[in-house]
Amino acid sequence: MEHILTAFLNVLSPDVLFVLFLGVALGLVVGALPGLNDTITLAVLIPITFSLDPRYAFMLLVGVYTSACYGGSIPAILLNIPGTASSVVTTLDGHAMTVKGQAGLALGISTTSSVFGGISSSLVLMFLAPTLAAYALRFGPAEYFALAILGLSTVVGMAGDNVLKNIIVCALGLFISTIGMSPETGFPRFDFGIPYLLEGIPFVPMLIGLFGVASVFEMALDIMQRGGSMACDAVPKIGRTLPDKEMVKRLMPTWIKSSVIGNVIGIIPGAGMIMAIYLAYDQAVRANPDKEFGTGVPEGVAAPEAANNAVVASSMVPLMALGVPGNSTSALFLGALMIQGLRPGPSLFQNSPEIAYLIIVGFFVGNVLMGPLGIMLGKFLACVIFRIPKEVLASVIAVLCITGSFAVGNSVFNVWVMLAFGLIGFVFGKLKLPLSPLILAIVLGTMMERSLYQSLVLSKGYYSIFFTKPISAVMLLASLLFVITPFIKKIRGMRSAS
Amino acid sequence: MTHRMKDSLLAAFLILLGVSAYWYAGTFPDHAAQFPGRLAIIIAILGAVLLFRSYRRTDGAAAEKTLTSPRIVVVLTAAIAIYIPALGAIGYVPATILLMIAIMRCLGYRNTRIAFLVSTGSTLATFAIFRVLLGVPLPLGAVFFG
Repeated sequence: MEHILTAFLNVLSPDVLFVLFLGVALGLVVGALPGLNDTITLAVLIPITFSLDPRYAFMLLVGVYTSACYGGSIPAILLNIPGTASSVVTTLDGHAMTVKGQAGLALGISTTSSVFGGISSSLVLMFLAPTLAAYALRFGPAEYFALAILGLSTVVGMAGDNVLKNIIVCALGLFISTIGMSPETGFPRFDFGIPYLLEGIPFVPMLIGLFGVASVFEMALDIMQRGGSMACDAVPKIGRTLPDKEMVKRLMPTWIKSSVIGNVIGIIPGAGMIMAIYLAYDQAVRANPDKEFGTGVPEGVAAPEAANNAVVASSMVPLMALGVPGNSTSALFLGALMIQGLRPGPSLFQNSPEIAYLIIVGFFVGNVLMGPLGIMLGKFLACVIFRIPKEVLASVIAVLCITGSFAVGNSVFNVWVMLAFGLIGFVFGKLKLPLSPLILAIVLGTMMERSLYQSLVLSKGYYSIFFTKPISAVMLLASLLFVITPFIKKIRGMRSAS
Repeated sequence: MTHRMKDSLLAAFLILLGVSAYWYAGTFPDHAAQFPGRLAIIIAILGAVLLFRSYRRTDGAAAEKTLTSPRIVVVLTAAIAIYIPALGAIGYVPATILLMIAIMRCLGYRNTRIAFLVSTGSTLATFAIFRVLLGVPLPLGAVFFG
């Protein structure tokens, strides 16, 4: 509790609060810009943050992550164009409300729902992460190996119809993690004599490539297909924005259920925001059978907006407590922590509690700031942002990516890495291969190999060590359940069909 | 390109990667080779499974709707690939201004005045932030500054 109070004092100091405010505002802008999102922005920002005071660095990143998915709802509601993938479902009822002349109310519902979901997830992070981290301090190598397996199996388990492709991506990610010196012997592997690869592929330039450069390529392809920048209709008139008491009372059950869905999904590595918004929308539809969703039902805006913001801080729980990123965006926080010389995982709360709690409280305060800022900026964003030509935007992002990659290690080699992974990210997109399992596997690969080796040394080569230790055994059992669940579902589906 | 073709290409890549990585890992000492060696086998097996599955797909012959070939991606990649060595030769500011203008032109943006203003403005702003504020030694260029 003492740490939380100290962190509140830190975050509320004028300079730190100002940086957080800037981050939230930036998040709103990038969220509202179709083609940009929190992941790309964090990838570009991380190199800038490495020479900043850690308090400013993390508040900037936390601010962007907090508000970007809410920013995506603004064009989704006003113009029927989702700013981010997490606001796709919001277009259904959000834009329908705009068409009915309720644009202001839709924006207000989106704002209040996002704040509700966001605050719920920051509370989950505040109370769950330190508890889980304290528990994780007891982990030995066998438990860490089982944790890595569990992290990867959740990705496979959540893959839906795409199990094989997710397994392939995980295997490729693990393979990439073996590039560089072996964690046991220090022997250089797959480095082809390039000294820059001895410590593995530079993580931040790789992320900048996978998300930033790949998005420039996607944007370019989109511009060529459309034959120019996207034309924008006139922005509709926005009236009263905040929902009244009656509406708040009506939406409360939807907010609570959707936030719980978002919180749970956020904690599971690899589950992702998209799954949360669809599940939340689905539960809202089931809970309101008398309403015709898709025609401008307020619950249809409240459910996905509360759920996507409820994923945000929750996805930081596994990263901060266990060192396992919950999704691609939280993997970028891993990069940010690493370049600040910090090690994510249980030791973060022991060695740098001031930073750990600062991040946690930053999410809470960021969500509080997001409400009024969103209402103030909403209309302005919808008016101005859509006038920026995509060609100009693509070139600016490209240059920020290049400069950021160079800045990480003052090395041109990093720019080549960025370009190579930009192409890989683009090809992954075309082959419909998901990126988050790749990042997760790259992060977990080294941990997995090291802990496997250490466990086998401890057990003198017996694999039984993973099953005789209770925590490890439970995690491996859970992993097995995650992996076989999609197959069981498939068999059941085939049986019921026949 | 059909789904089947895409899956087959990916499968062939995985098999090739798995086999060559397994062979290369064989040149490492025992402990260093175990993990990547096993992964290589798994990757090759996954490739074979994907290949088998791609030929059983009912929608395998269906082609995906692509209106434009990814030629623009090749052009942009080439532009960045030329830019990287140019960074050291002519320096960050001129190389970056040229790259931004080139990207905008390649994407069909024809307003030269805006393109020049935006590229110069954002390059100078980025240079000021990274070089002056953050102390990143962005290249000044061998041609002009030796």
